[in-house]
Amino acid sequence: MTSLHALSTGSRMATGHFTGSVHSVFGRACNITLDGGGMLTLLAAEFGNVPHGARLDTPPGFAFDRVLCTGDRVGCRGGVARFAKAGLEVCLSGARRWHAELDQLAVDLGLPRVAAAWQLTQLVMELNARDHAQGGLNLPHARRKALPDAVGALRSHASRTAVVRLVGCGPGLTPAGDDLLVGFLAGLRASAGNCASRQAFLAELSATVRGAATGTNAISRAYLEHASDGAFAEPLANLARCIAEGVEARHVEAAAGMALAVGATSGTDGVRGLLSAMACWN
Amino acid sequence: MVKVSKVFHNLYRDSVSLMQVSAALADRPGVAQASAVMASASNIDLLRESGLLDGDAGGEHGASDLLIVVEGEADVVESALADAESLLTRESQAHSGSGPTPIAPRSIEMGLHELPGANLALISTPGEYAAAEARKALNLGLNVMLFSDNVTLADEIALKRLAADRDLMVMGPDCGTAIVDGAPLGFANVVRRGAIGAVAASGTGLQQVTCLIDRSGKGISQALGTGGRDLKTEVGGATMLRGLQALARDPATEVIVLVSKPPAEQVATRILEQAADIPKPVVVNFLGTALQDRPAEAVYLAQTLEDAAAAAVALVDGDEPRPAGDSVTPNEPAIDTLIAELASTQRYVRGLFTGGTFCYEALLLLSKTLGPVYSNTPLDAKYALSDLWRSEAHTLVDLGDDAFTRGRAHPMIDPTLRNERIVSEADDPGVAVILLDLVLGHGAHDDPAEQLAASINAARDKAARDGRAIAFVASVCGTGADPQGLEGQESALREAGVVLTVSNAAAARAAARIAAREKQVYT
Amino acid sequence: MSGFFGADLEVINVGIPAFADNIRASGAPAVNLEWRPPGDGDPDVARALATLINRESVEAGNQTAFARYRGAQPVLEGVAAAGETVPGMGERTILHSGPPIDWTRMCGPVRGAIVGAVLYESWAADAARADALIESGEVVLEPCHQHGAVGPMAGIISPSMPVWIVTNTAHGNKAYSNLNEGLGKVLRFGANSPEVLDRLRWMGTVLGPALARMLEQMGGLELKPLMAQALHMGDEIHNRNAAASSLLFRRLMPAALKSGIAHEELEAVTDFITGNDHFFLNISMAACKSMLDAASGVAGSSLVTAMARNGVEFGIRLSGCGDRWFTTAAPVVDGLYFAGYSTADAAPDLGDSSITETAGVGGFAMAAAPAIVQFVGGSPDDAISSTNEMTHITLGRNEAFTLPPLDFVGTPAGIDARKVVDTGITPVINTGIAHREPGVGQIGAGITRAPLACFTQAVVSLAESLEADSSPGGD
Repeated sequence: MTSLHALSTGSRMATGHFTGSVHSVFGRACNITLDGGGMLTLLAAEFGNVPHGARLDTPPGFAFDRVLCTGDRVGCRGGVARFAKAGLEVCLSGARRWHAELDQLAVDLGLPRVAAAWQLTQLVMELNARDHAQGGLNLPHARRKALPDAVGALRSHASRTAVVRLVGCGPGLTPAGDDLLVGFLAGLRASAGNCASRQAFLAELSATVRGAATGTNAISRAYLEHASDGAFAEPLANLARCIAEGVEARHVEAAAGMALAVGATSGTDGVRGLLSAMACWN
Repeated sequence: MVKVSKVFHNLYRDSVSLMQVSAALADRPGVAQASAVMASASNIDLLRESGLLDGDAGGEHGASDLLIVVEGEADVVESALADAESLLTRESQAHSGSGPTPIAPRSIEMGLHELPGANLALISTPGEYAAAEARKALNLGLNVMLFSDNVTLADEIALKRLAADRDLMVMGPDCGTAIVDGAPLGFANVVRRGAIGAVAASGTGLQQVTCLIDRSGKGISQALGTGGRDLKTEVGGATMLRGLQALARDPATEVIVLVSKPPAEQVATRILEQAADIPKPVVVNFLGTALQDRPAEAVYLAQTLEDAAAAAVALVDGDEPRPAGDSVTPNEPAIDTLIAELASTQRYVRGLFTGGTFCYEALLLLSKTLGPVYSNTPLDAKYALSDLWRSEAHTLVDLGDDAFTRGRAHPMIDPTLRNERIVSEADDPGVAVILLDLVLGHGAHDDPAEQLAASINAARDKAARDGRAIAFVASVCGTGADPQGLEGQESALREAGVVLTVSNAAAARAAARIAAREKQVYT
Repeated sequence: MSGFFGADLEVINVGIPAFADNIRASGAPAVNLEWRPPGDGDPDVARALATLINRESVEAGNQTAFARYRGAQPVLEGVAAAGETVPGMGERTILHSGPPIDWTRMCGPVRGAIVGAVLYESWAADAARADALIESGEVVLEPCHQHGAVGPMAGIISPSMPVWIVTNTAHGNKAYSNLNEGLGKVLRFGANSPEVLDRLRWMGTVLGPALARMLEQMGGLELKPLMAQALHMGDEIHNRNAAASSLLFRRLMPAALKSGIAHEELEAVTDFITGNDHFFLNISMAACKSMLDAASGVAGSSLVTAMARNGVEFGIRLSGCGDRWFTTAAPVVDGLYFAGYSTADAAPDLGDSSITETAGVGGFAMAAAPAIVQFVGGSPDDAISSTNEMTHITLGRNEAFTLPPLDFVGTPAGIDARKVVDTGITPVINTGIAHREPGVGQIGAGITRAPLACFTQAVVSLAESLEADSSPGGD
């Protein structure tokens, strides 16, 4: 039996008994569709936390795709998930539960150190951002711009349209538009503060995202759905907090670096969305 | 210039791979543009806007599919597309080597590795190991059905407490029957799925109720067992209450039936209180209980298993159950004939049961009309048989009791003991009628009627040589879908001259009437 | 009840097989266990075991212990005299293999070896006086294991003997083993003739110091990579060590040439090392010991940290049971005997070398060494089955030791005593077989199993200690 243990689990990861099937497998990650609905993600140790997943104590050479196939059945009982054909068991209980609260951040770009953190992030992004491949398809600038323009002016209908035109749009396994949306929602949530109208707007926008999420694949949909409930992956959440608290430059730089490094280009799109949203409401 | 595209279903590749494929395609001489993207509606739009796609991509596709489009010179695009395909698709390395011949699982934990979705452990090991296996199962997060008996009361209490802590269910110990999600567990009949849920402290009691419901054209959502001791004070009805609550929450269950011998008083009270709180109608059959009044609006008391089933069937149709009374016994002319054939010495009922609950129910019914009835499990200790192998006056014997099953299989599996007893009863000139139960379904003997009929014929012949005619009455607990073949079993018994009923209560009443020589009054 | 109704029923059937058939016939999945009473059939053992299954304190303990075992980094740092480096080695202490045992109960080969050590140390002039000295209680006899050491067969370590020093740099603990004498008439099989003693003296005065200088020149030698490479070359580093010994020699020689050892000595040392395919065995054992010692003493853990035999008893230790030994009679091995010998001639199982299986190599890695079946019996397929069988009684795999015939999967490692008792599958051990008479030597080899009784005792003891610790009404 190959045995792995969870190092930490996201706050929205399924607990208790469940059954499901492997949806997709990569070298250092694997997604499971749960029979009761929803997705659960298993990540190798080097990743940051995600709301719907677990980080495992994978040895350096371990590859999920040498052990698991799409369609493999999995069942979790008594805190242990077992993959029948693979001789793999994953102990999910007893690990630290990770979560991040963005609601209390109340980003205020009027404060010098907060603005500085935002600008530094912008700079790091421009210097380090990984670009999409030359040629091929890119997320059009117009679609990108439409969302902050509408949200900045609190225009509901335009925002809804902008969302729909971003979902599933662009290159990548998690299409660029989805990553941008997730980052954007994070930025809004971090900036809404106590303002009732903003909170109401955010709630509506979140509902729109949740509804539109069926327009993209299951993996990306999971991130959109959790984002619309206010739950984000660790690198992005951590960056939002660093900016909101206006921490020291080196911490901002490190957090920005981690957030940008996510995926191939997902990180960049997410950070873009985050900064754009914060600027939008400040 | 030509445009081609291809859709790949259920193929997830990370973004780097997608980028690399796009780049590799675009780099090829003769290719103007290429793209590998998820086939969402938004991307289809974009591809059209950018001119890479004309109209539709062709074929079924959705946001979960991968789409590759290539625009270039005609002689190049097809091979470019083929190359992209081979770059993206690759044999999974998992499960590739010829796996080791798996060894059969030895422990529950190994069983879970083979069947990770398992949610129940069905335990029928010898009693001294059963509690430990049940504890392992509960620790591993499995619900438990404990078929084994000879588990101590202390163990039962501890296991049910552990189960409650983990929000799990323990059916048993000594739980012989359950039907969960339509699957037969232990000794169970093949019963239609439907809207009636049942929780019973008696295996054969549950079998009778589920069969009668099936015979009425209705069906069972879930049939749960609690084990024989669940309703003692010390156990507190733990499993019956959990079962009751689970059925209350189950959207597929509309009517609930509870069956048991009378619980300890406090336990009965608690059960009836909870039953009253549930928004679904609950039929309660505490066999032999003195309770007469309806405890609450939607809680109905039934006096026999037959009444409980009938009440549930009525309630599922939205009708009020008919008040309990003597059901019409079938074959009235046949009973009159049998009475007419009796000699004056023949006064007694001899009941030979494989199901303990059937024996008990018959004891209750016959004591009311015939007076004292002897048994190895009597209602009153005064009427305990002094010799278990010799009947006296009216006698009902539970052949499944420990005294008879030491060192041999249960009579539902091995009918030898009962068949021999039938023949020996025929020697007694006092015997008027022999009362039997025939239990079909999974776990029972695969052709009980054959040998039973043979013994009945042998007994009848023996008595006939002495100038006596013995009446035989049997209830058949089974359904049309049971593996033994209901029709064949019934006709074998009818050919042997047995009066058949579908319920134990009806058979008991028929036997009582024969012994008391009550001819039917035709009004 | 979560996941009972509504979710489809899937059943694990424990007992009457027909029940599983009926469930499957109705369309629901069911798995039938090949069930037998756990352990030795004692219901109390079964009850104790049940309290340990998926118990939080045990799972947590095992996770910690296994991580320490897996994270170990054994480094061969040097060679020194046992009396100077092995902890607790008194002036008149002699260490032996296996669990503790009185002189009067010891088997022939071990007694012969201890007498030889007394003579080697010059504590007595002849065998008779050596016997008397030992019987008088003057000589302290203790298990190697209790001093952080391990030795093959009789496993005798006395103060003047040179020992390998292995340090687990991840945890800081050290482990020791004696140097392998080679084949034929040797101390570890109970021979104590002048020839044997002469060789021991040479090893102490020439070989040991030479090796010490080589290792100093090298700055130490990381052992896991070498062991992993040997596994890729067909060794299992318990009974097949030729590749490992060759790899070691390849590292030692350049250092030897640079370390200024006199040419004559170097010639003798080289002849000695290259003439012995099992030279690496003792190092392998010390490395394994260091990995498992790091995992010892973790509260609640059911990880087996030692399996060892003294020719009379077989003993194991559990991480969560401190220093306690759980022992039973050592089995006589039914293996492949050299011409003219049979089980009637065999000593019961002997030696600390089963520390290799305890660490996931040896018999556990047999899939990597199918050629070994020529010596221990069976077929290459059996070698693979043995390794695969062990996956059911181990906590996980050691990814540092990958097995090429199994697609480079890590070797099953970390014996869980609970799983041994629950499944009845006992750990497989590849072992040499010694003649029962001292001084005769190896008479065969075979595959044997650790006896179940040790594990049932250990499980009962662990359960008792956890009950004593837990609050009333708790788990």
